[in-house]
Amino acid sequence: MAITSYSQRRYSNVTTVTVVSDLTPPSGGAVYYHWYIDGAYVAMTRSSSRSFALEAGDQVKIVAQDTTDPDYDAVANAPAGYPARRSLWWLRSLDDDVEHYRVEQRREDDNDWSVVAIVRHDNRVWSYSLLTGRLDDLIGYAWRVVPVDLAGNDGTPWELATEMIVRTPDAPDFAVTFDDQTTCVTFASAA
Amino acid sequence: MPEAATRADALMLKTTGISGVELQYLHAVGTIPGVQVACVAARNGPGTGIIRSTGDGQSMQWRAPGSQTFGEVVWCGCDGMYLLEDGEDYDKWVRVQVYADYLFAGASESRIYLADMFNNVIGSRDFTATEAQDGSSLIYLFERKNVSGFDATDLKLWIDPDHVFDAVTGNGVKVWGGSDWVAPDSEDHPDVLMLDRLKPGEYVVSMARRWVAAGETAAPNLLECLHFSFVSYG
Repeated sequence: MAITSYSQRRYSNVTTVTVVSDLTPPSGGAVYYHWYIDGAYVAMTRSSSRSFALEAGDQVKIVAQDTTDPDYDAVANAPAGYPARRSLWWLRSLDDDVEHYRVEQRREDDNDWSVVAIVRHDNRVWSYSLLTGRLDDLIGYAWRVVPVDLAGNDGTPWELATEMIVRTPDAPDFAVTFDDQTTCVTFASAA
Repeated sequence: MPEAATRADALMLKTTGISGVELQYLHAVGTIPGVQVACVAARNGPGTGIIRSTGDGQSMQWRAPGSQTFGEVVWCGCDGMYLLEDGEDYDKWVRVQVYADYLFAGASESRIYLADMFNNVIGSRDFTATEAQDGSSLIYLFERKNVSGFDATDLKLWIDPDHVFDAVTGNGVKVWGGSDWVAPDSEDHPDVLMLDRLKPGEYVVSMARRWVAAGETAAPNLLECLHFSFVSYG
């Protein structure tokens, strides 16, 4: 299997990546595309395009893997990456009146919790997952998921202890300069 | 204490104190409906295992990463804790909490992704550059408790050789061996922490220390890990 080319198009903060595969779908089957951001698994699609929301100034490395195997283990075969994000994963609340989950994040150097997502509760779903935004290297982060009931009351949060983000191997260390005369941007090794 | 404690489930690692929290060895992501993975034996190692239910959905099996064989079927039709063992190595177990009302009424299967955990007493990080500049130390206390009905013998504790950072700090991780701080880096090291026997219900408290002198260099992206082993004949 091989992805023969990548192309991307950006609309505001949404970037659509399209790949070309040399695989031929088997009879009755399909080509499956597994998508990764910075080495973290994101999703599987049968379309060769996927859109990603990027924050201002955000840079990511997107990798797609193509396969005709519907049971392909996308995590075990994940490419080496620089995971500057974390996948949060939690089980549903067993209370009947949960309306949504409020996902919050806190930096070690800032004691305030900030809301990063609201995830609607669905009684038919046993587990939920969320990919965080880009995290700074060598900074401690904590996360908690707060179930909120129909009346707006917070339930007992599920909380992860503070974790220092350590990218392995080290994150790329580079410097960027802009030349007014040539209007060129130059990337170079950091001093 | 798990109801399903067996030979493979003899030793529980906890933070110290009456309300000590069980220390997890590995992150576990993924499960089937109605099942919560409560703890994963370190022996499973990182990788991808599979949990599945068979028949009417109330019987469970576990297959550890790298194994080709599912373990014995365990009936899990009532709420409670259950121990599922791999078919090739009984010491590769997962302890699961089952919520019977939420089980899928039929066969189901899910991959479970296991990853090393470096955010607790067992595994941690080195000091940051700022901490190293000022000099710093951290001491962790933890409890090893025999939660099975059988004696646990030949308990050992050592530091992962790939994560020892003596060479970086000049000091590094040390564990409290009763009277001295020692730094064993293998199961066969002469300083390995040994304890002959833990009877059922008994526990022993140990300490791990990391320190760095002021002005020394540290590497915050260097991780460390402790290892434990024991023998139980349940």
